[in-house]
Amino acid sequence: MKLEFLNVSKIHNRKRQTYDLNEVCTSFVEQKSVAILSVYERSSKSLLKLISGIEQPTRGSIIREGIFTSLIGDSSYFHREMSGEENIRFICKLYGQETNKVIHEIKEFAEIKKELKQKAKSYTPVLRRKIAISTSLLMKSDIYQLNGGLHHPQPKFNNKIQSKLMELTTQSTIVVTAGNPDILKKYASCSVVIDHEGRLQSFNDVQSGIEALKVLKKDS
Amino acid sequence: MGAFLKAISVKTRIINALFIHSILTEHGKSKIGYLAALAKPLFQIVMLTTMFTFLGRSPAIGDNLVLFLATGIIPYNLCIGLTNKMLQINKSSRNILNNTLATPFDISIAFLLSETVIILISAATILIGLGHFGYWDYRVDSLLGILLITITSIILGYGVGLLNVSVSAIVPSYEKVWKILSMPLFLMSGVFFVADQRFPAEVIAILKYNPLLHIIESMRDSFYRSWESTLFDMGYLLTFTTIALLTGLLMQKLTQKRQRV
Repeated sequence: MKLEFLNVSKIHNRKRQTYDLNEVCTSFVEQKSVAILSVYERSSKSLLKLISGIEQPTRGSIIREGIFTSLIGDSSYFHREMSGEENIRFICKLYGQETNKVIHEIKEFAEIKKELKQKAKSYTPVLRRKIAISTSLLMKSDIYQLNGGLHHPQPKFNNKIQSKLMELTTQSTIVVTAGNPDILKKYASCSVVIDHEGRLQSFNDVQSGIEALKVLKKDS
Repeated sequence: MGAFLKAISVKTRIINALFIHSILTEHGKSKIGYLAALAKPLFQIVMLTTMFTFLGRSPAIGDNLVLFLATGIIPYNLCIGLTNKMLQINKSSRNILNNTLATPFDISIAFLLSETVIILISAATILIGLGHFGYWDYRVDSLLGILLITITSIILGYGVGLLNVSVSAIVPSYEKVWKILSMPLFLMSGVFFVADQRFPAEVIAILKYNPLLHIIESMRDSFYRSWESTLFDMGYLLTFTTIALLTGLLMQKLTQKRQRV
């Protein structure tokens, strides 16, 4: 896996010359999960979109080698008229996954079978989220993106999510954004802080990042 | 070189996934969705044939009205059908664009492939059907000419389609404007007439600027052994198609951020 940001800038507002990210140089390392903290939420969101390749930087370049899926639990790509399985097949094909293997694992992980054959428009929000979370967690990715604590109303499934996430922290890299410091500390081992001008600063632990953000917020 | 080939393989994978998605979502919504898409040109031909038979009209070329109309409607649908269908890209693909690594260009290529496949299958079914029922002897004047004009129609449709998608990303109501603007094209492109047999030179001088007229004239020129078009201008058609494609690609590049919003 290789993900390097070389002088990456992302302009938020061209007229006011405000930046989400400003001249960022950083690299993400395998099996080292990172907490992303920022003065403005839009900066973290922008960084996540750049990591997954959804957006391109305004200036600078990003060197990427590997698979970088989007946010865990995102189901916005689900098409109402397609079945759950067809939606999973689509996203798996898009990210170069072993489709049949992922579908088989989802059936076991989420304990669902015939629901996957039904059209997505018939899903309850709970089922939809269950399928989306399972798909994100079971697809192979070099970096997993976590926004806030993943919570599901079914306690048994919730426990499965937590243990799978902990498993991923040892096998892969997780970038996590959350308002709750406990979530950041649970999944990440280091942190980056983005200030109000979009500049990024790295820290070797999460606590130092949290404190640096507090100071930045106080100053601004 | 290795990185380039890898990039090509990733793009191919993405477009392949989007192609299947497009086939499933654009026509697979209802049980008869695919059938309706395939039967649409056939329905147009049957309607026009019935109407012209009632009016006592004979075909302008050859002795078969159905074949004459088919050689007009098929290239028309390849070009305008594709362009009109591409206008749906902004609406139907927004969630994919905003949440996955697919780009507007990937989606437009997937749309181009899926629509072209459907129109070509439909065209082949109609022509084989015409041959089967004795309306056509399976012989053409120039197969290469038909192939070339088919490719040109697809590229022109794609170029204008890209242009339309980009403009409608800036002005959403443009979709309605285009539908009104494109309506007279069916009447002005020689789908059911041969222009120089029907209109005076002054009218033809204006109609000659319509690239669709050249496409249909060229298709019939390559199809019928007994008829040669006096209007078809390959130079004009290729120039128009190239400009449309390049402008479309440029506009898409400039508006791709808007297409994601």
